[in-house]
Amino acid sequence: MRPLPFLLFLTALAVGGFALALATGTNGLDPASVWRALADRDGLDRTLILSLRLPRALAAFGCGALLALAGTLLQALLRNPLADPFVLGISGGAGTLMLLAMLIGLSGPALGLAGLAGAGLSLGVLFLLAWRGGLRPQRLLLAGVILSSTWGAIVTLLLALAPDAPLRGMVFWLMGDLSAATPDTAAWPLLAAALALLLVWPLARGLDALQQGELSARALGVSVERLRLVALLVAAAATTLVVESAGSIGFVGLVAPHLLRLAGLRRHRALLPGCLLGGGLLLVLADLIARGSVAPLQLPVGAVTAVIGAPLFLWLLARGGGR
Amino acid sequence: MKLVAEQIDVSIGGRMVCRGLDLAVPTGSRWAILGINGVGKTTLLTTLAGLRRPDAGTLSLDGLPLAQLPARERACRLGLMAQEDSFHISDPEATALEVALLGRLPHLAWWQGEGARDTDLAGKALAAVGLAAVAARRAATLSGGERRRLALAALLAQEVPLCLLDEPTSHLDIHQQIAFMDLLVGWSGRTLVMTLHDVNLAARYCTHALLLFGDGAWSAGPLGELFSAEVLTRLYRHPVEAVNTRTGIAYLPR
Repeated sequence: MRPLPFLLFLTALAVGGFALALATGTNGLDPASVWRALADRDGLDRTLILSLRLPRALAAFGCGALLALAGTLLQALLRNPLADPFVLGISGGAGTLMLLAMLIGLSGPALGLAGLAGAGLSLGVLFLLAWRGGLRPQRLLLAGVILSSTWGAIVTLLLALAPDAPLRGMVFWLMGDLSAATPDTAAWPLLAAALALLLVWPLARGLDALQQGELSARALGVSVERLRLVALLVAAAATTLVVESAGSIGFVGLVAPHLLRLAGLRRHRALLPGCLLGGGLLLVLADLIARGSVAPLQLPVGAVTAVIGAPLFLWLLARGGGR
Repeated sequence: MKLVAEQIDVSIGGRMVCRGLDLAVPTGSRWAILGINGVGKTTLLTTLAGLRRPDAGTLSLDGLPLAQLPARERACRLGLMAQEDSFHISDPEATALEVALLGRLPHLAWWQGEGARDTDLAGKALAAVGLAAVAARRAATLSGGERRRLALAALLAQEVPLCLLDEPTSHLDIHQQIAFMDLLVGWSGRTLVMTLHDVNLAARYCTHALLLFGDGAWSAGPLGELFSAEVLTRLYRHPVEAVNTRTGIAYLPR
Protein backbone atom coordinates (compact mmCIF):
# COMPACT_ATOMS: atom_id res chain seq x y z
CA MET A 1 0.00 0.00 0.00
CA ARG A 2 1.19 3.54 -0.66
CA PRO A 3 2.31 5.47 2.42
CA LEU A 4 -0.48 8.04 2.64
CA PRO A 5 -3.45 5.66 2.28
CA PHE A 6 -1.72 3.33 4.70
CA LEU A 7 -1.30 6.12 7.26
CA LEU A 8 -5.01 6.93 6.93
CA PHE A 9 -5.84 3.25 7.32
CA LEU A 10 -3.60 3.15 10.39
CA THR A 11 -5.38 6.19 11.83
CA ALA A 12 -8.70 4.42 11.46
CA LEU A 13 -7.26 1.30 13.10
CA ALA A 14 -5.84 3.37 15.94
CA VAL A 15 -9.19 5.05 16.58
CA GLY A 16 -10.86 1.64 16.42
CA GLY A 17 -8.35 0.10 18.83
CA PHE A 18 -8.79 2.99 21.22
CA ALA A 19 -12.58 2.66 21.14
CA LEU A 20 -12.26 -1.06 21.74
CA ALA A 21 -10.07 -0.38 24.79
CA LEU A 22 -12.74 1.95 26.18
CA ALA A 23 -15.54 -0.49 25.45
CA THR A 24 -14.12 -3.69 26.85
CA GLY A 25 -13.27 -4.58 30.38
CA THR A 26 -13.65 -7.18 33.04
CA ASN A 27 -16.77 -5.87 34.73
CA GLY A 28 -19.21 -7.08 32.13
CA LEU A 29 -19.79 -3.83 30.27
CA ASP A 30 -20.49 -4.52 26.62
CA PRO A 31 -19.57 -2.06 23.86
CA ALA A 32 -23.18 -1.03 23.21
CA SER A 33 -23.86 -0.05 26.80
CA VAL A 34 -20.67 2.05 26.89
CA TRP A 35 -22.39 4.67 24.75
CA ARG A 36 -25.35 4.69 27.07
CA ALA A 37 -23.08 4.84 30.12
CA LEU A 38 -21.16 7.78 28.66
CA ALA A 39 -24.39 9.64 27.97
CA ASP A 40 -25.56 9.20 31.56
CA ARG A 41 -23.89 12.14 33.25
CA ASP A 42 -24.10 10.87 36.81
CA GLY A 43 -23.77 7.15 36.23
CA LEU A 44 -21.22 5.05 38.02
CA ASP A 45 -20.27 3.35 34.75
CA ARG A 46 -19.40 6.69 33.19
CA THR A 47 -17.00 7.42 36.05
CA LEU A 48 -15.53 3.97 35.67
CA ILE A 49 -14.84 4.43 31.98
CA LEU A 50 -13.48 7.95 32.31
CA SER A 51 -11.33 7.40 35.38
CA LEU A 52 -10.08 3.86 34.78
CA ARG A 53 -10.25 2.76 31.16
CA LEU A 54 -9.64 6.09 29.46
CA PRO A 55 -6.45 6.95 31.39
CA ARG A 56 -5.11 3.46 30.89
CA ALA A 57 -5.84 3.45 27.16
CA LEU A 58 -4.38 6.95 26.80
CA ALA A 59 -1.23 5.98 28.67
CA ALA A 60 -0.89 2.79 26.63
CA PHE A 61 -1.30 4.65 23.36
CA GLY A 62 1.15 7.38 24.35
CA CYS A 63 3.78 4.99 25.68
CA GLY A 64 3.54 2.80 22.60
CA ALA A 65 3.91 5.84 20.38
CA LEU A 66 6.94 7.09 22.32
CA LEU A 67 8.62 3.68 22.27
CA ALA A 68 8.10 3.23 18.55
CA LEU A 69 9.44 6.73 17.84
CA ALA A 70 12.47 6.17 20.06
CA GLY A 71 13.13 2.81 18.42
CA THR A 72 12.97 4.25 14.92
CA LEU A 73 15.24 7.16 15.82
CA LEU A 74 17.85 4.92 17.40
CA GLN A 75 17.72 2.40 14.55
CA ALA A 76 18.39 5.25 12.12
CA LEU A 77 20.99 6.97 14.30
CA LEU A 78 22.97 3.81 15.01
CA ARG A 79 22.20 2.39 11.57
CA ASN A 80 21.41 -0.85 13.26
CA PRO A 81 18.11 -2.70 12.85
CA LEU A 82 18.51 -4.33 16.26
CA ALA A 83 18.49 -1.05 18.16
CA ASP A 84 15.57 -0.47 20.51
CA PRO A 85 14.79 2.25 23.07
CA PHE A 86 16.61 0.30 25.77
CA VAL A 87 19.82 -0.42 23.87
CA LEU A 88 21.75 2.59 25.14
CA GLY A 89 21.11 2.06 28.83
CA ILE A 90 19.36 5.40 29.32
CA SER A 91 16.16 3.70 30.38
CA GLY A 92 18.26 1.18 32.28
CA GLY A 93 19.66 3.99 34.39
CA ALA A 94 16.20 5.41 34.98
CA GLY A 95 14.75 2.01 35.81
CA THR A 96 17.55 0.98 38.15
CA LEU A 97 17.44 4.15 40.22
CA MET A 98 13.65 3.99 40.36
CA LEU A 99 13.82 0.40 41.53
CA LEU A 100 16.36 1.39 44.15
CA ALA A 101 14.05 4.20 45.25
CA MET A 102 11.14 1.73 45.49
CA LEU A 103 13.27 -0.57 47.57
CA ILE A 104 14.03 2.11 50.13
CA GLY A 105 10.35 2.98 50.24
CA LEU A 106 10.15 6.17 48.20
CA SER A 107 7.10 6.85 46.06
CA GLY A 108 5.44 9.54 43.96
CA PRO A 109 7.54 12.48 42.75
CA ALA A 110 10.68 11.20 44.47
CA LEU A 111 10.45 8.09 42.34
CA GLY A 112 10.19 10.25 39.24
CA LEU A 113 13.22 12.27 40.27
CA ALA A 114 15.22 9.10 40.84
CA GLY A 115 14.33 8.02 37.30
CA LEU A 116 15.41 11.35 35.84
CA ALA A 117 18.68 11.18 37.75
CA GLY A 118 19.35 7.68 36.43
CA ALA A 119 18.60 8.69 32.84
CA GLY A 120 20.75 11.80 33.19
CA LEU A 121 23.61 9.79 34.63
CA SER A 122 23.49 7.34 31.72
CA LEU A 123 23.29 10.13 29.16
CA GLY A 124 26.29 11.83 30.78
CA VAL A 125 28.36 8.66 30.58
CA LEU A 126 27.34 8.15 26.94
CA PHE A 127 28.35 11.69 25.98
CA LEU A 128 31.64 11.32 27.80
CA LEU A 129 32.45 8.15 25.90
CA ALA A 130 30.88 8.78 22.50
CA TRP A 131 31.37 12.50 21.92
CA ARG A 132 34.45 13.18 19.85
CA GLY A 133 33.68 16.56 18.34
CA GLY A 134 30.28 15.04 17.52
CA LEU A 135 28.48 11.81 18.36
CA ARG A 136 30.24 8.71 17.10
CA PRO A 137 27.55 6.05 16.54
CA GLN A 138 29.87 3.07 16.90
CA ARG A 139 31.21 4.30 20.23
CA LEU A 140 27.69 5.23 21.29
CA LEU A 141 26.37 1.74 20.60
CA LEU A 142 29.26 -0.01 22.31
CA ALA A 143 29.16 2.24 25.36
CA GLY A 144 25.36 1.93 25.49
CA VAL A 145 25.33 -1.86 25.35
CA ILE A 146 27.91 -2.09 28.14
CA LEU A 147 26.07 0.50 30.22
CA SER A 148 22.78 -1.25 29.65
CA SER A 149 24.11 -4.63 30.79
CA THR A 150 25.70 -3.01 33.83
CA TRP A 151 22.32 -1.58 34.86
CA GLY A 152 20.77 -4.98 34.15
CA ALA A 153 23.23 -6.64 36.53
CA ILE A 154 22.49 -4.09 39.25
CA VAL A 155 18.75 -4.72 38.82
CA THR A 156 19.31 -8.45 39.24
CA LEU A 157 21.27 -7.77 42.44
CA LEU A 158 18.50 -5.49 43.73
CA LEU A 159 15.88 -8.15 43.03
CA ALA A 160 17.97 -10.80 44.76
CA LEU A 161 18.36 -8.61 47.82
CA ALA A 162 14.80 -7.27 47.91
CA PRO A 163 12.45 -8.50 50.66
CA ASP A 164 9.44 -10.51 49.48
CA ALA A 165 6.81 -7.83 50.01
CA PRO A 166 7.75 -5.32 47.29
CA LEU A 167 9.23 -7.98 44.99
CA ARG A 168 6.10 -8.78 43.00
CA GLY A 169 5.44 -5.11 42.31
CA MET A 170 9.05 -4.57 41.29
CA VAL A 171 9.03 -7.48 38.84
CA PHE A 172 5.73 -6.30 37.35
CA TRP A 173 7.06 -2.82 36.96
CA LEU A 174 10.25 -4.13 35.35
CA MET A 175 8.26 -5.91 32.66
CA GLY A 176 6.15 -2.87 32.04
CA ASP A 177 2.88 -2.15 33.78
CA LEU A 178 0.24 0.40 32.81
CA SER A 179 -1.98 -0.01 35.87
CA ALA A 180 -0.47 3.06 37.54
CA ALA A 181 -2.02 5.40 34.96
CA THR A 182 -4.06 8.15 36.63
CA PRO A 183 -6.44 10.62 34.97
CA ASP A 184 -4.08 13.55 35.77
CA THR A 185 -0.99 12.22 34.03
CA ALA A 186 -2.34 9.75 31.50
CA ALA A 187 -2.28 12.15 28.56
CA TRP A 188 1.35 13.21 29.05
CA PRO A 189 2.96 10.40 27.05
CA LEU A 190 0.69 11.05 24.08
CA LEU A 191 1.30 14.81 24.20
CA ALA A 192 5.03 14.13 24.49
CA ALA A 193 4.87 11.78 21.52
CA ALA A 194 3.13 14.46 19.45
CA LEU A 195 5.80 16.96 20.48
CA ALA A 196 8.59 14.48 19.68
CA LEU A 197 7.08 13.89 16.25
CA LEU A 198 6.97 17.64 15.59
CA LEU A 199 10.64 17.89 16.57
CA VAL A 200 11.96 15.04 14.47
CA TRP A 201 9.68 15.04 11.45
CA PRO A 202 11.58 17.93 9.81
CA LEU A 203 14.70 15.73 10.04
CA ALA A 204 13.03 12.77 8.35
CA ARG A 205 14.68 13.08 4.95
CA GLY A 206 18.04 13.60 6.64
CA LEU A 207 17.55 10.30 8.48
CA ASP A 208 16.91 8.62 5.11
CA ALA A 209 20.08 10.16 3.69
CA LEU A 210 22.11 9.09 6.71
CA GLN A 211 21.47 5.46 5.77
CA GLN A 212 23.57 6.13 2.64
CA GLY A 213 26.58 6.88 4.78
CA GLU A 214 27.65 9.90 6.76
CA LEU A 215 29.70 11.49 4.01
CA SER A 216 26.95 11.18 1.40
CA ALA A 217 24.43 12.67 3.81
CA ARG A 218 26.68 15.63 4.52
CA ALA A 219 27.31 16.12 0.82
CA LEU A 220 23.54 16.38 0.39
CA GLY A 221 23.52 19.28 2.84
CA VAL A 222 22.36 17.32 5.91
CA SER A 223 23.73 18.62 9.23
CA VAL A 224 24.64 15.17 10.45
CA GLU A 225 25.94 16.27 13.88
CA ARG A 226 22.78 18.18 14.72
CA LEU A 227 20.63 15.36 13.37
CA ARG A 228 22.34 12.79 15.59
CA LEU A 229 22.15 15.00 18.64
CA VAL A 230 18.44 15.74 18.23
CA ALA A 231 17.64 12.10 17.47
CA LEU A 232 19.51 10.89 20.54
CA LEU A 233 18.03 13.47 22.91
CA VAL A 234 14.47 12.96 21.69
CA ALA A 235 14.83 9.17 21.89
CA ALA A 236 16.31 9.45 25.39
CA ALA A 237 13.56 11.77 26.63
CA ALA A 238 10.86 9.57 25.09
CA THR A 239 12.21 6.40 26.65
CA THR A 240 12.70 8.01 30.05
CA LEU A 241 9.12 9.25 30.07
CA VAL A 242 7.85 5.75 29.30
CA VAL A 243 9.95 4.19 32.04
CA GLU A 244 8.70 6.84 34.46
CA SER A 245 5.07 6.22 33.63
CA ALA A 246 4.92 2.51 32.92
CA GLY A 247 8.25 0.78 33.51
CA SER A 248 10.30 -1.01 30.89
CA ILE A 249 7.87 -2.14 28.24
CA GLY A 250 9.97 -4.19 25.89
CA PHE A 251 9.55 -5.16 22.26
CA VAL A 252 7.24 -2.39 21.01
CA GLY A 253 10.17 -0.08 20.32
CA LEU A 254 12.09 -2.78 18.48
CA VAL A 255 9.29 -4.34 16.53
CA ALA A 256 6.83 -1.54 15.75
CA PRO A 257 9.27 0.25 13.39
CA HIS A 258 10.01 -3.01 11.56
CA LEU A 259 6.32 -3.91 11.30
CA LEU A 260 5.63 -0.49 9.80
CA ARG A 261 8.56 -0.78 7.39
CA LEU A 262 7.38 -4.21 6.27
CA ALA A 263 3.93 -2.71 5.76
CA GLY A 264 5.45 -0.20 3.34
CA LEU A 265 6.42 2.84 5.42
CA ARG A 266 10.10 2.83 4.50
CA ARG A 267 10.85 6.55 4.28
CA HIS A 268 11.06 8.36 7.61
CA ARG A 269 8.61 11.04 6.51
CA ALA A 270 5.93 8.34 6.58
CA LEU A 271 7.53 6.04 9.13
CA LEU A 272 7.71 8.60 11.97
CA PRO A 273 3.99 9.50 11.94
CA GLY A 274 3.34 5.78 11.41
CA CYS A 275 5.21 5.08 14.65
CA LEU A 276 2.93 7.36 16.60
CA LEU A 277 -0.14 5.56 15.27
CA GLY A 278 1.19 2.02 14.99
CA GLY A 279 3.20 1.98 18.20
CA GLY A 280 0.23 3.39 20.10
CA LEU A 281 -2.17 0.89 18.56
CA LEU A 282 0.14 -2.04 19.27
CA LEU A 283 0.43 -1.20 22.96
CA VAL A 284 -3.28 -0.48 23.37
CA LEU A 285 -4.08 -3.91 21.93
CA ALA A 286 -1.39 -5.58 24.02
CA ASP A 287 -2.79 -3.92 27.13
CA LEU A 288 -6.31 -5.11 26.26
CA ILE A 289 -4.97 -8.65 26.26
CA ALA A 290 -2.88 -8.02 29.38
CA ARG A 291 -5.88 -6.94 31.42
CA GLY A 292 -8.56 -9.09 29.79
CA SER A 293 -7.22 -12.48 28.81
CA VAL A 294 -6.92 -14.08 32.24
CA ALA A 295 -9.15 -11.68 34.18
CA PRO A 296 -9.36 -10.96 37.04
CA LEU A 297 -5.61 -11.58 36.96
CA GLN A 298 -3.56 -9.01 35.06
CA LEU A 299 -0.48 -9.77 33.02
CA PRO A 300 2.47 -7.40 32.65
CA VAL A 301 1.91 -5.68 29.31
CA GLY A 302 5.60 -5.89 28.40
CA ALA A 303 5.39 -9.69 28.36
CA VAL A 304 2.25 -9.57 26.23
CA THR A 305 3.86 -7.28 23.63
CA ALA A 306 6.60 -9.84 23.13
CA VAL A 307 4.24 -12.80 23.04
CA ILE A 308 1.97 -11.32 20.35
CA GLY A 309 4.58 -9.16 18.64
CA ALA A 310 7.20 -11.81 18.00
CA PRO A 311 5.07 -14.26 15.99
CA LEU A 312 3.48 -11.40 14.06
CA PHE A 313 6.90 -10.04 13.22
CA LEU A 314 8.25 -13.45 12.20
CA TRP A 315 5.21 -14.04 9.99
CA LEU A 316 5.67 -10.71 8.22
CA LEU A 317 9.38 -11.37 7.83
CA ALA A 318 8.75 -14.79 6.33
CA ARG A 319 6.13 -13.38 3.96
CA GLY A 320 8.43 -10.63 2.68
CA GLY A 321 11.63 -12.66 2.88
CA GLY A 322 11.58 -13.93 -0.69
CA ARG A 323 12.18 -10.57 -2.29
CA MET B 1 30.47 27.28 -11.55
CA LYS B 2 34.00 28.11 -10.63
CA LEU B 3 35.83 26.55 -7.71
CA VAL B 4 38.92 28.34 -6.48
CA ALA B 5 41.41 27.23 -3.86
CA GLU B 6 43.88 29.77 -2.53
CA GLN B 7 46.93 28.68 -0.62
CA ILE B 8 45.20 25.78 1.08
CA ASP B 9 47.02 23.36 3.34
CA VAL B 10 45.40 19.98 3.84
CA SER B 11 46.64 17.29 6.17
CA ILE B 12 45.27 14.15 7.74
CA GLY B 13 46.58 12.34 10.79
CA GLY B 14 49.72 14.49 10.82
CA ARG B 15 50.53 13.72 7.17
CA MET B 16 50.59 16.54 4.66
CA VAL B 17 48.32 16.03 1.64
CA CYS B 18 49.08 19.34 -0.06
CA ARG B 19 50.79 22.53 1.01
CA GLY B 20 49.87 25.94 -0.37
CA LEU B 21 47.61 24.55 -3.09
CA ASP B 22 46.37 27.12 -5.60
CA LEU B 23 43.71 25.83 -7.90
CA ALA B 24 41.21 27.38 -10.26
CA VAL B 25 38.65 24.97 -11.64
CA PRO B 26 36.91 26.71 -14.51
CA THR B 27 33.39 25.89 -15.63
CA GLY B 28 33.22 22.86 -17.86
CA SER B 29 36.69 21.53 -17.07
CA ARG B 30 37.28 17.93 -16.03
CA TRP B 31 39.92 17.28 -13.41
CA ALA B 32 41.65 14.10 -12.33
CA ILE B 33 43.25 13.94 -8.90
CA LEU B 34 46.01 11.35 -9.04
CA GLY B 35 48.51 9.95 -6.58
CA ILE B 36 49.52 6.73 -4.88
CA ASN B 37 47.26 4.96 -2.38
CA GLY B 38 47.09 6.76 0.92
CA VAL B 39 48.45 10.05 -0.39
CA GLY B 40 45.21 11.80 0.56
CA LYS B 41 43.16 12.00 -2.64
CA THR B 42 39.87 11.40 -0.87
CA THR B 43 40.79 13.82 1.92
CA LEU B 44 41.53 16.53 -0.61
CA LEU B 45 38.31 15.79 -2.52
CA THR B 46 36.16 16.06 0.63
CA THR B 47 37.97 19.30 1.45
CA LEU B 48 37.20 20.68 -2.00
CA ALA B 49 33.58 19.59 -1.44
CA GLY B 50 33.44 21.83 1.64
CA LEU B 51 32.92 18.88 4.00
CA ARG B 52 36.26 19.27 5.75
CA ARG B 53 38.10 22.43 6.62
CA PRO B 54 41.56 23.03 5.20
CA ASP B 55 44.26 23.74 7.81
CA ALA B 56 44.95 27.04 6.10
CA GLY B 57 43.81 29.01 3.07
CA THR B 58 40.38 29.62 1.59
CA LEU B 59 38.08 27.85 -0.83
CA SER B 60 35.48 29.73 -2.80
CA LEU B 61 32.66 28.82 -5.11
CA ASP B 62 31.68 31.48 -7.64
CA GLY B 63 33.41 34.05 -5.47
CA LEU B 64 31.60 33.00 -2.25
CA PRO B 65 33.66 31.52 0.57
CA LEU B 66 32.74 27.83 0.69
CA ALA B 67 32.99 27.66 4.49
CA GLN B 68 30.30 30.31 4.92
CA LEU B 69 27.86 28.80 2.46
CA PRO B 70 24.88 27.16 4.25
CA ALA B 71 25.06 23.38 3.86
CA ARG B 72 21.91 23.07 1.79
CA GLU B 73 22.79 25.90 -0.53
CA ARG B 74 26.20 24.37 -1.03
CA ALA B 75 24.52 21.06 -1.87
CA CYS B 76 22.48 22.80 -4.57
CA ARG B 77 25.69 23.91 -6.30
CA LEU B 78 28.10 21.08 -5.61
CA GLY B 79 27.62 17.35 -5.27
CA LEU B 80 29.86 14.54 -4.11
CA MET B 81 29.68 10.92 -5.12
CA ALA B 82 31.40 9.13 -2.26
CA GLN B 83 33.35 5.91 -2.48
CA GLU B 84 31.20 4.35 0.21
CA ASP B 85 27.66 3.32 -0.38
CA SER B 86 26.14 1.64 2.62
CA PHE B 87 22.38 1.83 2.12
CA HIS B 88 22.34 -1.83 1.09
CA ILE B 89 23.39 -2.64 4.66
CA SER B 90 21.57 -0.05 6.72
CA ASP B 91 18.50 0.37 4.53
CA PRO B 92 18.16 -2.90 2.61
CA GLU B 93 14.56 -2.22 1.62
CA ALA B 94 15.21 1.03 -0.26
CA THR B 95 14.45 0.84 -3.96
CA ALA B 96 16.73 2.22 -6.65
CA LEU B 97 14.26 5.03 -7.33
CA GLU B 98 14.19 5.99 -3.65
CA VAL B 99 18.00 6.15 -3.56
CA ALA B 100 18.06 8.30 -6.70
CA LEU B 101 15.36 10.53 -5.20
CA LEU B 102 17.66 11.34 -2.29
CA GLY B 103 19.59 13.50 -4.73
CA ARG B 104 16.64 15.90 -4.63
CA LEU B 105 17.09 16.44 -0.88
CA PRO B 106 18.87 19.82 -0.99
CA HIS B 107 16.21 21.22 -3.31
CA LEU B 108 13.32 20.35 -1.00
CA ALA B 109 12.34 22.25 2.14
CA TRP B 110 11.58 19.99 5.10
CA TRP B 111 7.85 20.36 4.78
CA GLN B 112 7.81 19.61 1.05
CA GLY B 113 7.14 16.14 -0.27
CA GLU B 114 8.81 14.90 -3.42
CA GLY B 115 6.71 16.24 -6.28
CA ALA B 116 6.08 14.94 -9.77
CA ARG B 117 9.07 16.93 -11.03
CA ASP B 118 11.41 15.29 -8.51
CA THR B 119 10.21 11.80 -9.34
CA ASP B 120 10.51 12.66 -13.01
CA LEU B 121 14.09 13.89 -12.58
CA ALA B 122 15.08 10.83 -10.57
CA GLY B 123 13.49 8.57 -13.18
CA LYS B 124 15.33 10.34 -15.98
CA ALA B 125 18.59 10.08 -14.06
CA LEU B 126 18.07 6.33 -13.68
CA ALA B 127 17.34 6.07 -17.39
CA ALA B 128 20.50 8.05 -18.19
CA VAL B 129 22.67 5.56 -16.34
CA GLY B 130 20.81 2.61 -17.84
CA LEU B 131 18.97 1.59 -14.68
CA ALA B 132 15.40 2.48 -15.70
CA ALA B 133 14.43 -1.19 -15.76
CA VAL B 134 15.44 -1.74 -12.13
CA ALA B 135 13.93 1.45 -10.67
CA ALA B 136 11.51 -0.48 -8.47
CA ARG B 137 14.04 -3.10 -7.41
CA ARG B 138 15.72 -3.02 -4.04
CA ALA B 139 19.03 -1.24 -4.38
CA ALA B 140 20.66 -3.88 -2.17
CA THR B 141 20.10 -6.48 -4.88
CA LEU B 142 22.02 -4.53 -7.53
CA SER B 143 25.53 -5.54 -8.59
CA GLY B 144 28.59 -3.51 -7.58
CA GLY B 145 28.73 -1.81 -10.97
CA GLU B 146 25.01 -1.06 -10.92
CA ARG B 147 25.36 0.48 -7.48
CA ARG B 148 28.07 2.84 -8.75
CA ARG B 149 25.74 3.89 -11.55
CA LEU B 150 22.91 4.32 -9.05
CA ALA B 151 25.10 6.67 -7.00
CA LEU B 152 25.75 8.56 -10.22
CA ALA B 153 22.02 8.75 -10.89
CA ALA B 154 21.48 10.32 -7.46
CA LEU B 155 24.19 12.86 -8.32
CA LEU B 156 22.48 13.56 -11.66
CA ALA B 157 19.16 14.07 -9.90
CA GLN B 158 20.86 16.53 -7.56
CA GLU B 159 21.26 18.82 -10.59
CA VAL B 160 24.51 20.40 -9.47
CA PRO B 161 26.83 22.21 -11.87
CA LEU B 162 29.96 21.02 -10.01
CA CYS B 163 30.38 17.29 -9.41
CA LEU B 164 33.10 15.74 -7.29
CA LEU B 165 33.53 11.99 -7.63
CA ASP B 166 35.63 9.69 -5.49
CA GLU B 167 36.91 6.73 -7.51
CA PRO B 168 33.85 6.63 -9.77
CA THR B 169 35.15 3.65 -11.73
CA SER B 170 36.18 1.39 -8.87
CA HIS B 171 34.57 -2.08 -9.08
CA LEU B 172 33.88 -1.56 -12.78
CA ASP B 173 35.24 -3.74 -15.58
CA ILE B 174 36.77 -2.18 -18.71
CA HIS B 175 33.51 -2.02 -20.63
CA GLN B 176 31.72 -0.42 -17.66
CA GLN B 177 34.58 2.02 -17.03
CA ILE B 178 34.39 3.35 -20.56
CA ALA B 179 30.59 3.48 -20.53
CA PHE B 180 30.63 5.25 -17.18
CA MET B 181 33.21 7.83 -18.25
CA ASP B 182 31.47 8.41 -21.60
CA LEU B 183 28.32 9.11 -19.61
CA LEU B 184 30.15 11.48 -17.27
CA VAL B 185 31.77 13.60 -19.95
CA GLY B 186 28.56 13.52 -21.95
CA TRP B 187 26.87 15.80 -19.42
CA SER B 188 27.04 19.19 -21.02
CA GLY B 189 28.37 22.09 -19.02
CA ARG B 190 29.04 20.22 -15.79
CA THR B 191 32.37 20.67 -14.11
CA LEU B 192 33.93 17.45 -12.88
CA VAL B 193 36.63 16.75 -10.33
CA MET B 194 37.40 13.11 -9.67
CA THR B 195 39.97 10.97 -7.97
CA LEU B 196 41.15 8.15 -10.21
CA HIS B 197 43.49 5.19 -9.99
CA ASP B 198 43.81 4.72 -13.72
CA VAL B 199 46.19 7.16 -15.41
CA ASN B 200 44.96 6.17 -18.84
CA LEU B 201 41.32 6.86 -18.00
CA ALA B 202 42.44 10.27 -16.75
CA ALA B 203 44.41 10.91 -19.95
CA ARG B 204 41.49 9.86 -22.09
CA TYR B 205 38.70 11.76 -20.34
CA CYS B 206 40.09 14.66 -18.31
CA THR B 207 41.20 18.12 -19.39
CA HIS B 208 43.23 18.88 -16.27
CA ALA B 209 45.10 16.99 -13.59
CA LEU B 210 46.13 17.57 -10.01
CA LEU B 211 49.02 15.36 -8.97
CA LEU B 212 49.76 14.62 -5.33
CA PHE B 213 53.34 13.48 -4.82
CA GLY B 214 53.17 13.00 -1.05
CA ASP B 215 54.55 15.18 1.75
CA GLY B 216 52.48 18.11 0.53
CA ALA B 217 54.08 18.40 -2.91
CA TRP B 218 51.66 18.86 -5.79
CA SER B 219 51.40 20.09 -9.34
CA ALA B 220 48.30 21.08 -11.25
CA GLY B 221 47.43 22.20 -14.75
CA PRO B 222 46.18 21.14 -18.17
CA LEU B 223 46.65 17.41 -18.44
CA GLY B 224 48.50 17.50 -21.75
CA GLU B 225 51.17 19.79 -20.34
CA LEU B 226 51.50 17.91 -17.09
CA PHE B 227 51.61 14.27 -18.14
CA SER B 228 54.91 12.67 -19.06
CA ALA B 229 56.58 9.37 -18.30
CA GLU B 230 59.05 11.16 -15.98
CA VAL B 231 56.34 12.92 -13.95
CA LEU B 232 54.24 9.78 -13.61
CA THR B 233 57.32 7.78 -12.63
CA ARG B 234 57.87 10.25 -9.82
CA LEU B 235 54.15 10.26 -8.94
CA TYR B 236 53.78 6.50 -8.63
CA ARG B 237 57.33 5.79 -7.42
CA HIS B 238 57.62 3.15 -10.10
CA PRO B 239 59.06 3.39 -13.62
CA VAL B 240 56.33 4.32 -16.11
CA GLU B 241 56.78 4.48 -19.86
CA ALA B 242 54.75 6.24 -22.51
CA VAL B 243 53.70 4.07 -25.44
CA ASN B 244 52.16 5.39 -28.62
CA THR B 245 48.97 3.55 -29.51
CA ARG B 246 46.24 4.11 -32.07
CA THR B 247 44.04 5.80 -29.44
CA GLY B 248 46.80 8.05 -28.12
CA ILE B 249 49.60 7.77 -25.63
CA ALA B 250 49.26 4.99 -23.08
CA TYR B 251 51.22 4.98 -19.84
CA LEU B 252 52.36 1.56 -18.73
CA PRO B 253 54.28 0.38 -15.69
CA ARG B 254 57.65 -1.02 -16.66
